[in-house]
Amino acid sequence: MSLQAEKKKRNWIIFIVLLLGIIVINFPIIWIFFTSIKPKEFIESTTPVWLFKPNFAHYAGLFSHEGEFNFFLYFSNSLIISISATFLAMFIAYPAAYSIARYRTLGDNYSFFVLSIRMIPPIIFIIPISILFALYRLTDTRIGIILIYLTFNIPFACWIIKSFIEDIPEDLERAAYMDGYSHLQVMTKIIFPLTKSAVAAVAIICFIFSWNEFLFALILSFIKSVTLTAGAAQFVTGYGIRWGMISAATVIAIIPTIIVGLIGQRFLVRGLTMGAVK
Amino acid sequence: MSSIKLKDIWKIYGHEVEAVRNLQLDIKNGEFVSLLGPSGCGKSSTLRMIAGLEEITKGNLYFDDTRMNDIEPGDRNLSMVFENYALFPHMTAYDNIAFPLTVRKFNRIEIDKRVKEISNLLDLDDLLNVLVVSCGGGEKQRIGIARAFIRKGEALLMDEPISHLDYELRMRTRGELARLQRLMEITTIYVTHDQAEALAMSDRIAVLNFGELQQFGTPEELYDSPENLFVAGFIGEPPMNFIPCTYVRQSDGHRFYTENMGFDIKLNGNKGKLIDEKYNGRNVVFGFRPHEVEIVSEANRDGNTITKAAVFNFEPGCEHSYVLAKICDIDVLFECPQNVRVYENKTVYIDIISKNFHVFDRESGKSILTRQNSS
Repeated sequence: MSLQAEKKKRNWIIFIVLLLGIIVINFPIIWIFFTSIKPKEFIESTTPVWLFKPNFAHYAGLFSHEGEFNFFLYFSNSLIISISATFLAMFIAYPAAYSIARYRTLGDNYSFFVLSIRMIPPIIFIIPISILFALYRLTDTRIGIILIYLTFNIPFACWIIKSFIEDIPEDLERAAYMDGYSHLQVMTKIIFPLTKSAVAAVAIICFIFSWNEFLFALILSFIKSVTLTAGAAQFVTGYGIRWGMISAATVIAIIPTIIVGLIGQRFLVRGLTMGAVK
Repeated sequence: MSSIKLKDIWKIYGHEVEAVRNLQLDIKNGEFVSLLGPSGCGKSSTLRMIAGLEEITKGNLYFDDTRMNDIEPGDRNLSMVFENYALFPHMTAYDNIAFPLTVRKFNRIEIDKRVKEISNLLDLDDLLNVLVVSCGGGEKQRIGIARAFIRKGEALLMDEPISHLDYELRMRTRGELARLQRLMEITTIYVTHDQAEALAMSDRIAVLNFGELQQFGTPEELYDSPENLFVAGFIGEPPMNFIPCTYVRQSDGHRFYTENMGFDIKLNGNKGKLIDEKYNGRNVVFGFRPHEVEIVSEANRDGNTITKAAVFNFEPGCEHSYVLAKICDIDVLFECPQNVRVYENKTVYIDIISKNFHVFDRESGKSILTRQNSS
């Protein structure tokens, strides 16, 4: 066998292995998609049904305000909350990270303390936060949910961005100071452009976290600030779980994260490996 | 352009780390001064204090007669070249070079003219539109130098600008820097740990160690009359040899000997060097440079300035060879002409060329030689 043919064969083997991997990893998503287009009677059958006539009744049900489910409200809530929580987090975390990285603000261990917020299981916060929310009338408001997501996104973003800023030689800033840049100008015009891809990567992760968050959205909202994930929980009813509807809602909910992921893919790879390859 | 004066400058990090101690420097207008010392000696801290990038803990900094302590770095009107280039990676070479002018809002035509001029001088014309990340080390530093020279400020500060370059490039850039500095006649402070670099480029050198100024003088002064052991050992390649011994004053000169008499030489005192009477019979350190000895044949072994050395290593070289030997168990290194072959584990006799010896107080490390004609 010629060298080229052998190489070709090897590539095929790699391709098949990768394909199998992709199928295994994505199996839940594929299953959900199939569930969403299955007729109701097939969904709950004890033996999996592979061949059926696809039917989009569940999707239609989502948009027709069937029951309590208000798709457009939930979708716009999810969108507004996730985008705001992401942008605000970046806006607050970036200067904080810069300050911690360059000026050792609040001591050497502060950044670890900030991150440690993320180490506590979120459910522990639920009771005090529900009380606080009731007290300040934040329950069932978008602002309330945004605030909650910020408390998760800011420490994470701050921690990651901080380590990227630390990787940039300080002499770069000194060079800019020598020519009269202010601290703010150095941060926005010198350091920010150099950490752009890290910021994009972190923003994408924050967005996906906010979009997918379920627990707080479920507990702290009733009608007005229900997000898509919390809304889908309505299909777990007293009469049984409506798998078809949940699956349809899930499939639609996945779409924006896929879009964001595709757009941001190159930033994700570059941003998260930037420190490693330098 | 201005003179720079450092008066009683201290830099203390935290509460105890004294990086710079009571530094006095008076740098003249247009002068090229090097701050030389091993790492951690305070040279970079000093430079950054002059730049305004670090606060001065105590003392005063003057440009001409203006006190500069509280002036922001951007308002001090200085340019700086950094060790790791400090170029902005997201900009092209052109934008980097033009940066000091763009920030100061020069008009576009003027900027363009000056960038072209300086890049022509530094042979950077072909690189102007390239992103600096794709340039090599030497090119990056030339861009850094161009950025510093594009604007004639009060002074130019350089922090080990060429230490990351390989040998050949370093030699070339060194020449280029010195040439540009003379061309622009700009006051320059150059930080380096490489004594050869400092000796080659500077008008005057300030040698620092442990945050203290050891000596401030011309390259010749530092080399010919080092004020203490540190300067003597730091300047010159290979470094000076030191032999701890006892000094005795004699009617016709100086005698230096070790307890076991393994080293015992008498030098003529009338050749321009005097030692204070009070050191008579005291412990001193005798110093001589590796090239200031001559190997003599065994027949001449009895001269006053001749001593015995046990060779333990011989390094042949192209121009001259190096001999590593022990005089009374003290390692010394000296040069011998290329045509002389010395054998390991043999004893040789060396003549210390008497006019260029150095003597230091063993406790303080200060030089105790005074030149006859200077005092």
